Amino acid sequence: MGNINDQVTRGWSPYKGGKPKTPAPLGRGPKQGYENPRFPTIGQKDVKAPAGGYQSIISTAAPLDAGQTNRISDVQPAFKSLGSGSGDRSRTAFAQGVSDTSRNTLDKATDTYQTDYRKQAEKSRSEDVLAQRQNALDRYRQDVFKDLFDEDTRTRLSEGVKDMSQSFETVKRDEQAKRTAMILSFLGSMI
Amino acid sequence: MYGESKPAGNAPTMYRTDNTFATTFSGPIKKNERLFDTSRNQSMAQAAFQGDTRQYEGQQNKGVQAGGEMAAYRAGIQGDTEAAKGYAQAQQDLLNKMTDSSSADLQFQERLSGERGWVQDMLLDRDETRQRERMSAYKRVADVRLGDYERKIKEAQAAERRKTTILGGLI
Repeated sequence: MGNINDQVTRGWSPYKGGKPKTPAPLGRGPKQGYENPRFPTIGQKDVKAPAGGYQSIISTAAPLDAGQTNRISDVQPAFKSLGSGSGDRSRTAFAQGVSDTSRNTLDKATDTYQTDYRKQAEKSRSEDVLAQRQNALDRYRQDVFKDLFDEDTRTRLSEGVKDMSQSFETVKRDEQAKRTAMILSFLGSMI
Repeated sequence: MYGESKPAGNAPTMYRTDNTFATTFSGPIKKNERLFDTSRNQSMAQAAFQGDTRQYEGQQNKGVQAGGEMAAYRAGIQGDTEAAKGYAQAQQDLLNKMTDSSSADLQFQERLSGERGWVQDMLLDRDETRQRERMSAYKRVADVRLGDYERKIKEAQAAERRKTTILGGLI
């Protein structure tokens, strides 16, 4: 039947004995999360990160730098007196007070914005990377499915070849036995 | 007149492509940053005007209070208060513009990365479709070889039976 069958059946030969022993019990199947030497992993063992790793274009850096923050909140007091009377000093202090209050408020608002922005950016970056991981996992599933499919198809071919080889062997032996019986019967009739 | 500002990015309003897997976002769409300065200058000028003490001096009292220092002081305080409101508004306005601008950056990054993720998913789908087609070809090869072998085996079995039949005819 050609060399291909030897490669396919890998040294298998037809069974010619009496009733064979029943096959060994199958035992326990492999447990998820553990290697099993009886059922070794035939394909890729784990998800592969893309070359260069998972990368995201989403920056979590503070969106406004110190210069921009200063530019927002840096406002000179509305009034600065050159006089020295108590009214002048009082008014200067008031102007400085409202200016400082305004600056502090703006600084706090800016800080709130910066932190909210970075929180949102971190969340978005995580989602971005997670989507890439999901794709890598999908690719892993597809690769493993391909490995399984290959092995199943190969096994189906080799077991089919064995079935038919065994079937041929059986028919051949049947027919040989019939012919032997016919010859013996013929010889017997001549005696 | 500043309401007529154009977006800084020249985002096309129509888009057409033959590439199934290209991303479409062109860049962050931001307000014109040149107008940040002009707007701020305008706001500051407005604030300075609001702080002008003359408009709060009101009608001068008669007698010793006429043009008194206390009236001037009150007007000054009132002016500073109004100016401070204007300055705070100018600051808030600039903060809003800057946050809008940086938010546009983040929004662009989020949307582009989202689109890229989706496109990667589509590429994976395409590759899987191709792969399934090739796997089907692989299975077909196995089926064809097995079928061919089965036909030949059946012929070989028939030949064995024919030998028996011939022998039976002879004896």
